[in-house]
Amino acid sequence: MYSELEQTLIHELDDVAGNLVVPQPPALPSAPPGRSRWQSAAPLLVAAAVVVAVLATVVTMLLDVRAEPRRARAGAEPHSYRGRRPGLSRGARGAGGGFGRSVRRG
Amino acid sequence: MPTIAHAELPTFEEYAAAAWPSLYRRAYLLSGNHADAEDLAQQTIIKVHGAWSRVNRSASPNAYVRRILTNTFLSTKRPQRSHLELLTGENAPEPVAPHVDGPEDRMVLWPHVRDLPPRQRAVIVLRYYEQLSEAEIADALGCSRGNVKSTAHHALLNLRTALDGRED
Repeated sequence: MYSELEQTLIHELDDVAGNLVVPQPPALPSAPPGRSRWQSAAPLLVAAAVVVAVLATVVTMLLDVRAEPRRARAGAEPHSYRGRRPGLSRGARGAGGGFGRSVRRG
Repeated sequence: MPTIAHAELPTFEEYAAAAWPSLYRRAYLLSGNHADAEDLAQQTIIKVHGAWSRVNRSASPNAYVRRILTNTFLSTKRPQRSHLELLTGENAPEPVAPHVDGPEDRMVLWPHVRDLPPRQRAVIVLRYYEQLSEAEIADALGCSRGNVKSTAHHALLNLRTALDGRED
């Protein structure tokens, strides 16, 4: 199957490898570097994302709460057509008959 | 050729400790000297460390590591052959003991294997030391079986020519 040359080759390569003095293996870190970095960063990233989401929700809610009295005050204005008919106020503004426009004209 | 079964791979450290001797031997056969073999084996083990989750998950971790070793060897830029300079005068080093032939010096083919081009050497080591099939060598080198066959043919031809030149 193998030629004489090939058999000599197998024999010599085995001899070379078998007679080697193998040095000590290098000192290795305990865990793969990329993985450990991600492992430590992942909880922080998740926590940061949660904080950002909560803050965004709180800010949105606060803005809504502050805008509510202004809307209510605008709705209670005596000269306003919408004041007497609160149910129509939004539709009236949308149709171009808003409070601001009528004041500027006035 | 020592092998490590998949079941024996719980951690990278255990794998590295068990695989190091065979990795170093293969690196030596590929590179031909201890300094380069140590560099090659260390680079390989560092790459294996970085890709451990993939290595561990692969169907054959040994084949994966073999690919890393062979590709690292083939992609390493080797300097041109160093040439000896004779230092004389005050800079001359202390005389050392005369060189005594070791087992490697009495070998017929090994010196010529070291002189083969890297790719041919890789095929020879994979074929005749690791006893891999052409398909496995093709997988390790990322080439076709035909390419492996032709590279092995040229390598054997070079060795035969070198032997003939030596006998003349």
